[in-house]
Amino acid sequence: MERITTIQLFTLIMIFEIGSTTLFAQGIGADRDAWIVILISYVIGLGLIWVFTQIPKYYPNKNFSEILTTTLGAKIAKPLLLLFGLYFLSQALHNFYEFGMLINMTALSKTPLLVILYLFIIVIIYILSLGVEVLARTAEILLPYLLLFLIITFIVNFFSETFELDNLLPVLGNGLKPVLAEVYDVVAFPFGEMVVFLMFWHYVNKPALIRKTTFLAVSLATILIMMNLIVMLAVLGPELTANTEIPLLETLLSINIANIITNLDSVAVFIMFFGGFFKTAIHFMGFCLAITWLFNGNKPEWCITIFGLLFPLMAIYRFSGIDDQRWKGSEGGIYSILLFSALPILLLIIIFLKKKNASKKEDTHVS
Amino acid sequence: MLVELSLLKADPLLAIILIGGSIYIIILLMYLSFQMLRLLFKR
Repeated sequence: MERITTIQLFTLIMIFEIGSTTLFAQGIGADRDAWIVILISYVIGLGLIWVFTQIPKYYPNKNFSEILTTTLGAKIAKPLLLLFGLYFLSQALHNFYEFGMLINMTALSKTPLLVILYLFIIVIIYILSLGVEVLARTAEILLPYLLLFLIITFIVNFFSETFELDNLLPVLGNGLKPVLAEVYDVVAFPFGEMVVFLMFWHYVNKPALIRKTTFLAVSLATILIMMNLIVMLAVLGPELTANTEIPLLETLLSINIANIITNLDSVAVFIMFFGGFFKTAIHFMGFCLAITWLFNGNKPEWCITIFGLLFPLMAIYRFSGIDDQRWKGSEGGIYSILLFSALPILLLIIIFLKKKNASKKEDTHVS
Repeated sequence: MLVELSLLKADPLLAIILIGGSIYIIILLMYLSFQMLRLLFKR
């Protein structure tokens, strides 16, 4: 069986969490206090991640389908697995279309969207059909570059003339209410999205270290997301950050250090592409694994190829433009993430009660 | 309503996920209460 190391899991989670969050100004509804929203959501998000990482502790080395069947019985488990699969498909389509469109808008404006999407999906099909291990190793190789580019972005912005830390003041000027109103949004995206890793825990070679690795990766990713937001707010100010389509790109375009370091949009495209690539690939793999397990198979390659080739068509059929995609994502998508990250909480309580029931049964047998 | 009906009409996949997910929350809650009752009344 394929195995991934804890370092590979760490890199996968880091890239996944940073993923598309660099594109948005998370919690910008709270204006200049958006970074506090991230901080509060992180604390709640850790609770969710504790739940996601507790499930494999009860059933180490069992995949998610086996855990569901053991806990709920096949009749309830199979439709639930299908629903999880559809949710992963929906998330994959969102990420896929969004990143394809953003690349179309920023770098390849004269190339038809369908061509970009097909080029994008062919790489994903190739990597995923080689297995989860290859995806994890790719993340391991690429994460240092992503981090390097992100940190360069922060440093260059910091020395740019447009960087004004005063844009973040006054802290909590409008009170806590707008901050708390934004929290559920950020808890869902990106922390609730971690629910997709339920499909991958059984691949980890040291199950005992899953929680530690995940907490570490999410914590580091949160620091980067927060720094990214602070840079956006300091450079663009809260109004422009809230109203710009891609704040990161605007931030990088505004950099001008002595007329030498300018036009850094290629850096933004790099960050966007890798983030989008891994988010799409992980969600798509989650969907393919769910469908394969649903039919008691163990080789997702066919599913990856068939659905992969249909994927760009599905994305274009589902979304009519970036505004449509963002409307569907922000209005309904957030609720779907919250719903599917709440299901494992119930699942965990059921597992706990069942284990307790079983141990009580054993006790009565002994006495 | 949390989600507009027009959104569900415009996006059938989202509608399936949201409705299916909500139904499953209810099913799991019922299952959970059944397990709790078993735990309470079993000696």
